[in-house]
Amino acid sequence: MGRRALWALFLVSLAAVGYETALTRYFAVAKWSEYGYWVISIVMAGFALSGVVMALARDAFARNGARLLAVLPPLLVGSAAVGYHFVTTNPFNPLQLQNAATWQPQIVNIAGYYAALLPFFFATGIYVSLCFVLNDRIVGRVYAYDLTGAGAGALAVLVLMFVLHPFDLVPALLPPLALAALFAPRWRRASLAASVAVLVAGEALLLGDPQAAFNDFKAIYAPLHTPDARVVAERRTPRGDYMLLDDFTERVDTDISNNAGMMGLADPPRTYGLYRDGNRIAALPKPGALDVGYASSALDALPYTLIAKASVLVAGASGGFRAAAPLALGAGKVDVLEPDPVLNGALHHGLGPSPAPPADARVRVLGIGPLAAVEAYGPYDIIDISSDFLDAAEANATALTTDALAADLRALAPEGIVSIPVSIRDFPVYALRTLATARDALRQAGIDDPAAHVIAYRSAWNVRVLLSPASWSAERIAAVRVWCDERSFDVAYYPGIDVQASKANIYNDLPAVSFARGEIESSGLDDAIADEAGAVLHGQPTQSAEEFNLDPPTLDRPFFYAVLRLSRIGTVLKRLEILPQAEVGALVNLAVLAQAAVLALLVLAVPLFAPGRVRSARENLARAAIYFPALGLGFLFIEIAAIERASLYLNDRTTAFALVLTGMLIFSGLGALLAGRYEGRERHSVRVAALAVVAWCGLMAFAATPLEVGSLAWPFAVRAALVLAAVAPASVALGLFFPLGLSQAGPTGFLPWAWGLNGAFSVVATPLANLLARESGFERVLLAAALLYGIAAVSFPLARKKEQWSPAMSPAAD
Amino acid sequence: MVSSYVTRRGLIAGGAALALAPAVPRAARAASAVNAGTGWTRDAYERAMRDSGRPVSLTDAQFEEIQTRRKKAVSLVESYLKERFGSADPAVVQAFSEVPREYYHYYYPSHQTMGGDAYDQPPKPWPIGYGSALSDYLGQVYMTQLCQPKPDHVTLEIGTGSGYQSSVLSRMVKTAYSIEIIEPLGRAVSRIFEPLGYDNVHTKVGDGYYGWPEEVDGGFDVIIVTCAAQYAPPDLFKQLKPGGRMVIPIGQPFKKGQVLYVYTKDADGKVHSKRDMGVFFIPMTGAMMKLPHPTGGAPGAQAAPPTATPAAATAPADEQK
Repeated sequence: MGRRALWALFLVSLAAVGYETALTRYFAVAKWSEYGYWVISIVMAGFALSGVVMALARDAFARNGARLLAVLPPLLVGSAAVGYHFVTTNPFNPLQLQNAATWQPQIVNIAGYYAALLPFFFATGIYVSLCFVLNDRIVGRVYAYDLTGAGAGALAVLVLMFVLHPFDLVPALLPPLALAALFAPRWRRASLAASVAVLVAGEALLLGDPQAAFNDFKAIYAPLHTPDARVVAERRTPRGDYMLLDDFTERVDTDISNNAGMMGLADPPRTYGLYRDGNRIAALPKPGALDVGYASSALDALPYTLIAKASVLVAGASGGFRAAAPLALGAGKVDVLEPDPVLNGALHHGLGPSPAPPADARVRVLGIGPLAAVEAYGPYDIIDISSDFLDAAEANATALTTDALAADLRALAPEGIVSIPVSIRDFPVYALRTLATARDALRQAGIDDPAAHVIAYRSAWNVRVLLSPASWSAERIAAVRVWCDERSFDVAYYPGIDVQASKANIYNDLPAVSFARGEIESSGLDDAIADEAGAVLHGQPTQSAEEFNLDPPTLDRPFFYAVLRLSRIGTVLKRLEILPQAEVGALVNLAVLAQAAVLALLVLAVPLFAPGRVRSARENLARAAIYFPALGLGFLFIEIAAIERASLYLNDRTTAFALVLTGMLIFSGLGALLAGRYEGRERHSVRVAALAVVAWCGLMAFAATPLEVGSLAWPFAVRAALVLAAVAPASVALGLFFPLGLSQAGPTGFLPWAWGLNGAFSVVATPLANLLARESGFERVLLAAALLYGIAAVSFPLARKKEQWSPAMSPAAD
Repeated sequence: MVSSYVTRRGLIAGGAALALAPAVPRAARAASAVNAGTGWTRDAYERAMRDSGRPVSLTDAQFEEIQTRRKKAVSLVESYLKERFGSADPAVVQAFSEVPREYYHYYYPSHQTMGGDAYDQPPKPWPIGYGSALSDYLGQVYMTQLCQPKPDHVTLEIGTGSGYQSSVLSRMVKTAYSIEIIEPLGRAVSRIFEPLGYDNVHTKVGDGYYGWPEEVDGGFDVIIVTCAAQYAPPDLFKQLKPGGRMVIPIGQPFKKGQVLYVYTKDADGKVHSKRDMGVFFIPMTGAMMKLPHPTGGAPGAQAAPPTATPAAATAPADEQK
């Protein structure tokens, strides 16, 4: 198989990664993004199974290699098209998984996804592993084409996302698969003709009667189907598909006092609604003056009544309304952070018919995150995090970590206030976790008695936690209580609170429930947050801390929606029906991990039930059974940790994902290409590479954070270049291990088995890394990766015997 | 494509038309209110379905099976309400037994009836199309009893959905109003009440944000808002009568139930809320139950509001359960 034929491998890898990414975008838009994990697991399962099959029938595949390389391209096109068609027509409704009476049919639908997608990924895995088998003497070069093709695919689909709707990505990725036929070593014309015919049929199927659509329970569905509803603007980006709606349901969505009517205050005004992937993210103003007459009835208005002419930092512009509202409440100047590029653009230039807010010299719009802003600017009197900021982007979760809040406190004037929002619609316990985070942040900022520096007040659905470097004076506390009483809000905590007395004046009854026992523990008026707030702020044990994880999120472990104790999975599953959707991701990870572990064990066991196929010394099998899984786990662990660190650094998860994935694939492809230079010195080279990887992991885990935080305000392009520069050297080293290990294999089933092992343990790696990060942080993930590469270095397989070449070993090259 | 939730039983054979039949003229409708407990026959069911533009036919055996399940469901409802509230409101149980649930099991986008799935055990929510669902009947009766409807009450529902909730309320109150924001669903469901003789139900398609001020003098006794965002619309509070209740269910429709927020107004017109988790959690019994505050009582009771004087310097309470 010549170099020309390897271009076919490049194209297949390109299309496969593009297809995988396109599917995750489909799930994010049509269903919900956490189910994209399931897709990735199906992908990897297909690859792993192909490794098993190839290991069992290596010789037969090798004998028919040329024929297969001609037949597979049209098969790939067909299975990709048909698979996507059945994905889009699958009536899977993930919402029904949370009801014990409705989940069973959804399991059948999940099986439907496997049936639809496995054929394509299995066939892709066969194609890739066949290329390895037919070129076992130039494994490094093969791996390089595979990896660089994958990197190119990641880049290609990124570019396509600017142009095409997410539902149209798959049809655009079918042509590279058909083009692979151009490089078939034999029967090229027939292969190309078949590929083109199947391509035409596939495109007709997907474009002629497209079935992909929003799940009708996504937030956008109802507004889109109200009388006279219109889509008035649309933007396509890798970050998401943005749609601006004009319909009568759209208003500024902010928590206002139930007494607003009695107080004679204006209602939140009619607006346009901006949706991203079907989820509402902001209200954008209609033409005319920006109406914020409701502002003084909003839950977030309190700090502005305590500090006149405040200098304010607001995280999250909410379409511009949260820049205007502080001014209406008396603020002197406002720095407003809007990291979302489309929303940021709307603030400067408008979006469709929605005008940009009128220019105001007191307002400065910044495209950076809160951590960068407080490093670069300040001091501020008020740092106000908008209630929709957390859910506006994954990267925004860092704003609610201990480290970020401590940085906010350091950027405040002496009597300044940080205002933190917490939704308690689903789980009031999020408020207690935020109080625990506040306590740690205050201590990190050098304050010894955190409880004296916190106030928490609430509506029925949301809590606001106020922190101050100064302890709360009696006058300020009294002003807070009067303000809340006027608006039927409740003060859940202030220094010196008499909790029992405060319940006599509760406006929003919040009874205590026991998650473990499933019982309501209150009768009469209660405030479940007030019951425990004081104890949490004093670092004392509480029932909620026993039942839930109240450990504060940190930059290393920035997961806000992570209150479930997975060690009590029995109780969690018993309460599945009340879990917030944001917490379900962890359970999906567990399900994927279980499936992946079974598959990995199956692949590991191949030499046991088919020893004649793998044909290697027992010791070498044992070494390979450690070496290749270690690589599969270690590479993904590093990739996932790097994506997370880059997401923090760039304040944009989508760009971080694309940059790290593309960079790691391409540079490790380069490393794979270099592997051939180390023939005869494989073991030594692996050990040097392992040392480099371990050193890199250590540096990232222990030394990089201060440098990152210190350069957060640098220009985006510079930071992006630094991310690439950081992953490049490690990736070159990472690219050496696999081909050097495979070069020990020889013409047996050992090579595809090893390839399958690597794939199978890659499937295990993603959910495992996510769960490890959730429980222990990304530093631990990096350290685990370092350990795995150390293990790989000592378990490197033994050298194969050099065999005489014979024509039977590989098909004729072109 | 046939959706997975449509069971063989639910797909009643043969006569389901693909297009809505034209509405039957007013003079030809069923003469009196249909009571699923008495006089509700297969012919009455088929006639009502046809008159509502959703023709269907089923066998005697299929119909009788549904009625058998209905009887069991009534018992289940009664014991469920007793467990959750301490006692079952007889009016709620009566309304549940009266309103034929199979009439509401309908998937509007593809004009498919799923009446055969009515009174399922265990009860579950059923999609009816257009992003709406027929909630499981235990959750619905729970919310009905929570609303405390009375015979002289006037109710308003924002989010008609299947129309079942309004129908049940209409058996217990003077008049039930309902607004649906999703146009195709609202238009289709508006036709289902008349064939049953439920002439005290009034519906429209449109924006429920401002309630229904033009029809009702004095306001509503019960308001249910099924599509609230971060707050309850202020105009609805204005239209809530003193002593009235606004109930807002929160959460996606396929969970076993929803968290319910109950809003009331006190004598000063200030709004109070209570988060009700009774669908998910049962009341604790025994000595471990937290005692109500000595001055607590009916929702809305409160001591003197805080003043601008310094708070008492007591240590924060340090409770552990």
